[in-house]
Amino acid sequence: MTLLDLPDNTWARVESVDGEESLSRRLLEMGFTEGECIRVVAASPFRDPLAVNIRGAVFALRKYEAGSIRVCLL
Amino acid sequence: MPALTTAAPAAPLIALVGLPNSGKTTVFNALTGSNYRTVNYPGSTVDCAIGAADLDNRRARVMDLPGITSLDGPSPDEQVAIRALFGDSPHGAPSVYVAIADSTQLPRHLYPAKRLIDAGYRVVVAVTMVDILNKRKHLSFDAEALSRELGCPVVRVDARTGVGLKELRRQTGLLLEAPTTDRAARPAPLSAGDISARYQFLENVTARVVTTSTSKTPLEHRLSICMPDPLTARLDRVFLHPAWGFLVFAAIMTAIFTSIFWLAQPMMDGIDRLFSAAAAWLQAVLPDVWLTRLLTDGVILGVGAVAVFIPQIVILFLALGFLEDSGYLSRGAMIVDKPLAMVGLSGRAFVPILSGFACAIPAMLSTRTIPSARERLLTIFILPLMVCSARLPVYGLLIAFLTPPGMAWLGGLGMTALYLFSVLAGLLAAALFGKIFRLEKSVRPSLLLELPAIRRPKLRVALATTYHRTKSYIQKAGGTILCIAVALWALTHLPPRTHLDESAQLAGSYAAVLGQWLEPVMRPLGLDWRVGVALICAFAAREVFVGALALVLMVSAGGDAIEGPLILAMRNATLADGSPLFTFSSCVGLIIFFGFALQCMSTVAVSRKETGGWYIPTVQLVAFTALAYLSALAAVQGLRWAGIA
Repeated sequence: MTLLDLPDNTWARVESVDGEESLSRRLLEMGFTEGECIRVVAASPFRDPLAVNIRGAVFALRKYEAGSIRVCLL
Repeated sequence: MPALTTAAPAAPLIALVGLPNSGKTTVFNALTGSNYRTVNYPGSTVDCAIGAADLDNRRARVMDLPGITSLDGPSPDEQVAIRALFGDSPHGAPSVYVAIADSTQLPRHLYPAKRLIDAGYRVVVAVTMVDILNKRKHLSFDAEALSRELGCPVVRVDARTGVGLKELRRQTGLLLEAPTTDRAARPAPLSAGDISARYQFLENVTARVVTTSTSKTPLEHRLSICMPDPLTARLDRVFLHPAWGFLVFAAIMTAIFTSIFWLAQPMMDGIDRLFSAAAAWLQAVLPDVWLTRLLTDGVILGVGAVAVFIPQIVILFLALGFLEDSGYLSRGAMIVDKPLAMVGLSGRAFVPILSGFACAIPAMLSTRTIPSARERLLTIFILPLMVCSARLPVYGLLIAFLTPPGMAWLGGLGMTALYLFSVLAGLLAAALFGKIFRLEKSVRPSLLLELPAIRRPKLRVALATTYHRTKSYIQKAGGTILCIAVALWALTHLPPRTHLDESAQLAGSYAAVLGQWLEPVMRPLGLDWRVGVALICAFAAREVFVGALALVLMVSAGGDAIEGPLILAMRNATLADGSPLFTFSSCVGLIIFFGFALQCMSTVAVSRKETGGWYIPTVQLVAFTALAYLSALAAVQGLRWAGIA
């Protein structure tokens, strides 16, 4: 599953970051690394963008950005 | 401070490195004692700032840079920072790096610092926001343990209260004294595996240095570090809620833009009386010669007519300052991302657009935080359409003229409508420009916006920001307004002839001669050459329009107020055929003209610099000004056709 399928406020772990090289690299450098705990804290209408909590920070991610992050439930 | 960089080339350079929102600029202000503003919004420092500091009796230059997430970041503001970090800036190569790290997000904030340390650079780590970690998250932080783990000095700093600054100065000074080892080199970009390995290392370090008093399993401990602080989390449940979030957003925006109109009124009246009293006093004590009249009817009237609108500008700047300092701005950016994305913009354009309500120039600079080139150019393109503070005096006057007495709320509503209209026009322009003109295509534009911890906005910070912005507004506009007021007074009073009443004098003046050329252009708008002269003046700076109008309508400054008589003069002014000059339709036409026209030479210059060419500024100047005239024309003729004068 990706972040888009994750129910709100449910903890999961990052499995991998797919998608374009420049985006996945950027996400990795921002701390979206394998095994890290992650959850969705809020969603705009149509779940775009999503507010995602990781490593003590909250990020707003667009749909395709969130869709490139594979997660598994904790 | 260019003098510093040239006068003291020997003073070693200290670079502040940190993520956006790490508290870098606050530390910079505390170290250098300068009053640069800090903003609780990611990437708001868009250029290098240099200040002098005393590090334990050692002089040094301190350099503040835009926030960076990694040493290979893509957006223009990050690249400015990264180049300067590795010596590619006019200020030279840094000797020591002070890495600022938010204690509530240590792994992310130590990531760039760790890479500098590994590459052999001399680094001091300053850890901030420990109060939030202690008080809101009930975790404690061990600076000595972190120092052992990283192999570099670590200082706990709270620049707002001054805790740890002395120690930071001492440690930085000590590192400057330390003998230089082998020349450090800029590290090459890491592979994906290496990035994960660094984070794994920093994650383990964090688990050892950020500890809790209550007993928790390792996973619980890890999750408690990972969560945002409880206050931010609670507020975000409202701010980021799909429905409530939008309502709060709409309420905040409406409150700001309506208060600009009605909250400012008492202060405006006060300033108005002040200027009139000054003019009356001067007229009473000085002999009645032309120089006195130049001073009272030219300078004081021209400047005063614009100064009256300073309270509105102060309120706007104050509201923006509060929003910035609280951390709400990036929440607003997330809420408007979807609608903005539909026309090819990004949520990151929200802050530039909001600053565009103050002035298009800083707004254009703040677009540097937008990583996608296409979204950035589109944002710059539409910024001149936003209702900037220079338009406020013009709209203020025209709306006050159109508002029936005792119905100030209607004026506030009209003002809000104008702001809304300018945003809609901007979105439309972005959609059209994005379609018609080919802009550089980039990879799919990303948002990746950090929402910082929500803090109670500090009045002192907001006041300081407001003070600096208002000061620069007055400095920027003041000189132009003064020059134009004097020039216009001369044009309307020359050639000098005696024994003529004022309107006859004006009709034979140079201004009237100049105005005759404009008459054919102005007549279709229901206006005459006098408004034309004021419009020409407004091309130097929009706000000059008000003072210029007061001068060409021959308002005398002798009365007890400026705005009242100006509106009275507008009511009494007639066209050549005796019909009123300022009607509903001609005022609406003027408002629409000002809404679109690019009447600001500084904006054109900055647009050229930020877009790297004349293409966008030329399109802006021609398209917006043509659009202004044609749509004003359509509005006036349309209203008349519908039977509304």
